[in-house]
Amino acid sequence: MVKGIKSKQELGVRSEELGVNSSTSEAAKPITSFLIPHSSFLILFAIVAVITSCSSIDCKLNGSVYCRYQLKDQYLNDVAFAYPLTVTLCDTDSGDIVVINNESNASAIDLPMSHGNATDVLKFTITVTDTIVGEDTVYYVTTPHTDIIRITKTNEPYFESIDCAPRYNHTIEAVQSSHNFIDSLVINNKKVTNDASKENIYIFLNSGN
Amino acid sequence: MLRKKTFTYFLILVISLCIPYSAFAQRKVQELEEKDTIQLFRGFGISYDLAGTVMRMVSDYGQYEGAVHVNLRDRYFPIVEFGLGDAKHETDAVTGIAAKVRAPYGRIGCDFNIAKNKHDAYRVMVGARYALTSFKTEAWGNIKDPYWEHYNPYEVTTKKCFFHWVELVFSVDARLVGPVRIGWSFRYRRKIGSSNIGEGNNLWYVPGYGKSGNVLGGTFNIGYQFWRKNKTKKQ
Repeated sequence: MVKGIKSKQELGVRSEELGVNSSTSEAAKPITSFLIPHSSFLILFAIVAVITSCSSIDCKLNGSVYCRYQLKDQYLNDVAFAYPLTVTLCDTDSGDIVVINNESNASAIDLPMSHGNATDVLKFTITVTDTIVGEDTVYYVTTPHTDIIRITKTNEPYFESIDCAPRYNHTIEAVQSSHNFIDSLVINNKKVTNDASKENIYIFLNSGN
Repeated sequence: MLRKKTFTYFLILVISLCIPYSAFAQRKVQELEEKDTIQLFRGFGISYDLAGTVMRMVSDYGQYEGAVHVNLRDRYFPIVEFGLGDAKHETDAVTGIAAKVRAPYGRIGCDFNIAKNKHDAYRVMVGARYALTSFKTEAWGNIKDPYWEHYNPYEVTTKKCFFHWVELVFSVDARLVGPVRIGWSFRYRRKIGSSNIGEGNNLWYVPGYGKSGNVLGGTFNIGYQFWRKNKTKKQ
């Protein structure tokens, strides 16, 4: 009897090797048979569909890269321009373009950087308004004061995902300016990325501005 | 009448004596059936994932993946999977860039056959994998500067990123014809860690893992089973 049982078990194993289903495999067939051979292509299609449809990516909301300029006093306190400020990007394909137009009380300014230029040239203009009181009339005389700022930088293309807008990070190497109303420019953080919380350049004004 | 009664009592006695012995014999049969006398190494199998290849044909990413497993007692299946992840996205209409990744990956793990009859031609398995890959992403395009308005070449090769993860696997596998087997698996993936991802923590495509944010996966395997040949002892 023992021999008989053993041989039956061996027969069950061997039957699989020979490609013949044993009686027990016939019993199990209804459980899995619908899962495999007859619906193979449906399952293949389902697997491909599930895998290819489930991907998602979160691009950063702030995908743009801006250089942040912060106006400071001699004690490194944040201050604002006393006069309206206009900022112009120079040497674009459309000539000079104004990106900030007569903004009052400007303190922190976010300005774009070019993707490919080694040096960006920007014009900062403050419009000083003098009041002249005549005999029966008050005259307002506006005088623009302009400083040219040159920023030398490197441009590093950055890839996040095919679904996210491509961008360039920058490393500021040097800043120069004329000194009509700007006293000096200081690099605080030379890495310019899409992190808007970092102040990249401090602007110090001449006394009286 | 008396003879008939005596015969009846005798028959009852014989039957009642036989019952415990037959029950004992049944128990012995069950015990013998439960005892696993099968050899440890039953053979090995190779397989290829058709789903990854089809994915690569119909979408911008996919993989060419093969696997080798060892069959231990028809119950345990240590497995090594290795493949080549391939993704290439042509210039995107919105972002204006193209990108590609092509790198190998590997997984190691074990499947456990949970089918009641483990010797069956069908196998229902659960298992786990540890997987890793190392890859670079290349992206290129010609990007218009929104302010300066001229086009600039955009070419990026990211730093080499090391990425590893674990997978929980549920799979079904069956004999198709002879030693040829066919089956599918569903996988749940969980990232363990990575290096050099960069800011944003986003990855576009990871070989063997798929696109970033995709935790579900699957394979559709066609395989070949090599059985161990039994040596017959001459007595």
